[in-house]
Amino acid sequence: MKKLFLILLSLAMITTILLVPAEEVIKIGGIGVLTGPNATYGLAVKNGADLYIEELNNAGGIDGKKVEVIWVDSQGDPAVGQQAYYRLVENDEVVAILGAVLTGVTNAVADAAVEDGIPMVSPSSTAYEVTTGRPNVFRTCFIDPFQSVMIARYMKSKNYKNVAALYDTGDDYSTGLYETFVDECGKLGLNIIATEAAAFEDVDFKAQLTNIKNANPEALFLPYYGAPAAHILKQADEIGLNVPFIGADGISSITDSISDTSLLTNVIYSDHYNYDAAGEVALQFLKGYEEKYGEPPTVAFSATAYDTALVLTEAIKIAGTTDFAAVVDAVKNIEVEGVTGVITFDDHNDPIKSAFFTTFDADGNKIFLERVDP
Amino acid sequence: MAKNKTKSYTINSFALIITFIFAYALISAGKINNYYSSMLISVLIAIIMTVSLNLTTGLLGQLCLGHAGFMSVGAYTAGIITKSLPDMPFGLSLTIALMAGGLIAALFGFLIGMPALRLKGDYLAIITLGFGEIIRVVIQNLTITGGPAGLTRIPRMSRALAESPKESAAIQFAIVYWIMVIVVTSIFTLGRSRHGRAIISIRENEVAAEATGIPTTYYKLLAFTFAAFFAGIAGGLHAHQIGMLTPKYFDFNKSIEYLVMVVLGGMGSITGSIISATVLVTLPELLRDFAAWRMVIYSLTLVLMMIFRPSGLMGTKEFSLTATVDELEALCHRVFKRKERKPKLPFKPHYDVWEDQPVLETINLGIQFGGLVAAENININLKDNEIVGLIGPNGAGKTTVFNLLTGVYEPTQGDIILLGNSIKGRSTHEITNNGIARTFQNIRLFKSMTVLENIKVAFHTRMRYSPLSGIIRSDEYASEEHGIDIRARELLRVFDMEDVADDNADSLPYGLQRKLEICRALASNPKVLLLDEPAAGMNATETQELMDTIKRIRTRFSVAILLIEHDMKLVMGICERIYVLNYGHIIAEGTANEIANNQDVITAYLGMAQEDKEDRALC
Amino acid sequence: MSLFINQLINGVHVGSIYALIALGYTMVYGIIRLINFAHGDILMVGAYTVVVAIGTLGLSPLAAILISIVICTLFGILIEKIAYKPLRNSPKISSLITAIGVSMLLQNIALLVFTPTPKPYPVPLSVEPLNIGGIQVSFMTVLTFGVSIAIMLALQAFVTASKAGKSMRAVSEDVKAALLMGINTDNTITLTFAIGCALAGVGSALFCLAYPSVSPTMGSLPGVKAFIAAVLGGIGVIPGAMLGGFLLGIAESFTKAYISSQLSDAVVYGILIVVLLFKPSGLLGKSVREKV
Repeated sequence: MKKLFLILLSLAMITTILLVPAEEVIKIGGIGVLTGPNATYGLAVKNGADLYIEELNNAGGIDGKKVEVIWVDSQGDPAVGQQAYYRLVENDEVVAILGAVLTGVTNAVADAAVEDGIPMVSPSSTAYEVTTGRPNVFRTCFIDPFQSVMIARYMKSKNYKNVAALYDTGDDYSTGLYETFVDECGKLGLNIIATEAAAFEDVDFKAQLTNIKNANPEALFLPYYGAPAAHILKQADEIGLNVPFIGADGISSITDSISDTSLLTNVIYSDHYNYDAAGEVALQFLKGYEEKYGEPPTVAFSATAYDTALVLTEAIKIAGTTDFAAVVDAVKNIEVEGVTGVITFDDHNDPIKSAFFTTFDADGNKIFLERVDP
Repeated sequence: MAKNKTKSYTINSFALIITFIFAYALISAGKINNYYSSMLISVLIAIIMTVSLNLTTGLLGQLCLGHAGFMSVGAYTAGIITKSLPDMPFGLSLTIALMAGGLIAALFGFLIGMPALRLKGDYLAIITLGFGEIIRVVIQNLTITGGPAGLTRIPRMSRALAESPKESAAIQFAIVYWIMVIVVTSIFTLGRSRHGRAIISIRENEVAAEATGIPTTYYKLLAFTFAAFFAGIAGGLHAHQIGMLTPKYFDFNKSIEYLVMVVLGGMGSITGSIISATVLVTLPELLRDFAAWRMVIYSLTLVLMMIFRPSGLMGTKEFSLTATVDELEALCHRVFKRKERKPKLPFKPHYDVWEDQPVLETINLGIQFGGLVAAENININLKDNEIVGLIGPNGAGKTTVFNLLTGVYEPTQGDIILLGNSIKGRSTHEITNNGIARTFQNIRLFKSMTVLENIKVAFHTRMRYSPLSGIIRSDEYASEEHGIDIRARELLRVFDMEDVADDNADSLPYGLQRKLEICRALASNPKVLLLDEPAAGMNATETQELMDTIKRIRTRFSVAILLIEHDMKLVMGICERIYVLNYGHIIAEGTANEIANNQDVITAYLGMAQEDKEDRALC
Repeated sequence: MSLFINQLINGVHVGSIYALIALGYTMVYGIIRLINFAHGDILMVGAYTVVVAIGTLGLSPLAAILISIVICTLFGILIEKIAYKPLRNSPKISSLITAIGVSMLLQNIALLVFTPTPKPYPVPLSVEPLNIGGIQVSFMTVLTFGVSIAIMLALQAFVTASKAGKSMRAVSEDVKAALLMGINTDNTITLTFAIGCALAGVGSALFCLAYPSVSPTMGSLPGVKAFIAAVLGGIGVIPGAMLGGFLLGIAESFTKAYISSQLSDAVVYGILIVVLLFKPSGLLGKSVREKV
């Protein structure tokens, strides 16, 4: 009985596969963390990329062929991400990879992608090492060293002499930013008078903040994501630590999780783009996003993902084929205007981009401060 | 029976080899693509992890919440080694890396096993959880491990093993497959050797295991170390499958994931572990399209599964793999030796008994628990082949005396002399091996083991073969196991229990369970046998039978017997001498008649006594 | 010196919250020897209840918090009845795995319903910090400390003096014997769960007032920490949970302040291990000798 059932099942599966008509579609594989606690970032990426693809398809696709992004969830787990990659490449026969979102997963996926030479562009993995020695792996976000260098320079330009840093030891993003920040401060002659760290997922920072307050710095470098940063701001307020909190792009999602938005006026961070300083594409993106999803994007990764989809499809268009090597070549030499500015790639496959320093008003609206070019 | 065994062996071994050849051919031909082959590798690694965790959690019965910690130690060690040996041929550096990963993980397992000496149950679980987290935090803060960003660009087996990717993938499969087979068979054979019996007996009843002569501490450490070793190897394989490691990957949830696999499969069932690891690794892949619902379905299934099948898929049962191993071994011997090995019978310990000296003697023995004096100035002695009773009202301290004699409690005063040597301060298993065996008031059998296995545990220390011999089933293993099989069956025959030899101990009726416990105690070939209320719960006929048995034991096994009993008919009927204990003191000593007429004894039992009452009460 | 006192205050604040959650852990463990892994997630249930009550239903903060405590209690009873009760006579590890399953289930349902994006806890509480001799003590710290001490005392009194409390102790000593003495063990166990989860509800409110961000996995970390606190103090002992909570909070705070904020978790686990090695049943736990 069981055997019979199995046979029927496999027959059914085979017929389904055979019956599906083959349509000319260009398939791109999307890998991102779509479930679990980090899904905020993965879903932002998915939304941004899907938006561009929809616009592209409405405009006729690539030479009349529709483009489809097949999304596979990495669960934020490098091993699962790699498995997702194989599924996309081997079973779905995608021609390019859009992703992954978290650096750890991107590293694991890139390891496999390098072997196949498939074009791969990550919208959000900011760790420097991700594209090193991987000729077919690109990204559309800026890199951590760039951000922290810019932040250190920004601090210097404000004439701060003594600053402090608080970072997350369990998070590669946070430690990566912290390490390059320390290097740059050394070069610029900024004193880091207090360094504190916390464990991943910790919510109590009072002990560290008390130490920092005790050292009396002029500003605090805070390479954190939004949710923990919200805790930090509140607790800093409680213990009476009142200095500028200077963070990187990850902190942009803080508006989702803070209850007292008046605390945000102390926050300054470097973002991938800002509407106030943005070009036409950005305004179009914003409008399209609000129409499609009913709310403005909170995480900048939906913008970089939009750009990633743009870069990949544009490269396929330029190459005129989906041959891996040709597309990689086209990406390498691309020059397009995206939401986050004009995108071109350097020798390290990183985009040459500007950082947009941003702060908030007491209602949590983003306010553009200044643009810093590399 | 034998025919059945041969059949299942043939099927299983062929299944193993054919599966391998089939999969290998398909992978190297590219028919199984990278997606399926990498899933296959993940399954195989999960099997190694689950089966090795089953050694500590299933067989040893100690809850371990830090298994992923061992895996991470192995993974990082192996990854760092291959990364730092880029010039060496990958096959060689991988071998070194895997071994080193396993050994370093084993070292950690040993260190973490140490607290197992002191802690039990949930507290041990917490310690393992704590160690797992410490390992993770430390890895996160080291430079050599790449910190939180992890160790990247580790050579991947799917590429580095051969020029052509397909061939490399196929070799990767071969390596992981055979390592899995070796690990699973090792744990399986280990589990069925004297060492495995010792480990399982700890799970079943730690006190009884110790009293049967098992060095429980040693075996806890052994199990932890072996499990960690295999987890380390699995970690090494994982590192070279994915090519990168992050500390977050090996967190508490990963340990839980493997624990779930063990419990769902059935604690102690290796087959169950294999099935559940396979299902739980592939299922999420198949459920991918349900994305967000996947985890809800998974956790719901977990809860329902536990409610409706709390002992897991397989319980402690095994698939016919048992037969496979036995028959594979028999085949090997047929092919290579062609000669029946001679069974090596367990040696009979020689006890040096001096005619005029007691075999067991206590001198002013006593113990205090805090301020409470449970026993004081106990002076008793047993001559060779004597049956002595130890009686007294409830709470008099009789069992305490037994616990002192067997090292369960360490005396705070006095001394115990066994055959002329002091055994004070020795551990229970040492005392058992020196010649004192006991039974328990509340029966302590190794319940889920068979009657025969219960007996075999007691032969443990009179066998010599090492864990390794047990795993590879050397000649030494075979002849010694054959030897104790003969002896154990002989013993059962003496007690008319041969027909229940293969029944589970807990399926026996009460009277037989008592008998089995005595039988197990005798299997360790003691000079002194301590029986704690052997007749408790027996009816008159059974008690009568028991009296005969005890007398028979004394002559046949040449032991001195000290027994605690409330049944005065039994005590008066067979004891040559009787000690009476009250409030932790010996209040009388003498023959049955003397005791029955001793005024102190009567007072102790009845309070104020009258002449005619006492006779009825005591006789 | 003022730094030292400030860090001590920080430790006491965190410790009070750990202690409060640990009380629930300890009660449940004490009575059925089950590590209730889902206990931390009850915290999350409470927090989302407040979010929904205020955000969607528009209730006042106080009403929302009271409702959340009731919902937590109901969840506790429900989980006990559905998931743990059928397993009362099964091997302990099956119950443990069930608890893990329930914890995962709650988290994943919350992920589906509320999305992973953390939400702000909608109860603003801004009271000026108290200034005592140059040392700032936030109102929250005082409140949390006061509430947890009061609850512990009430609980201790309840368990030692009331009839229901005595039944609880009886059941935790020996379920079968308690049953024979005419105690309704099922109800007693349910009552224990209800109280434990109500405490988690209170803990949830205090936790969220201090750390006002609500996410589906918010309960797991405080859950694990509170569990460690319970073990440290001697699991099953009410004052032990309190002591363990405060010790853990203060130890964490001092480790971060004076030893290494990077390795604070490792140090905390290290302390736990050392304590258990010397006092295998925790600081206030009774060492139970197995009757041979």
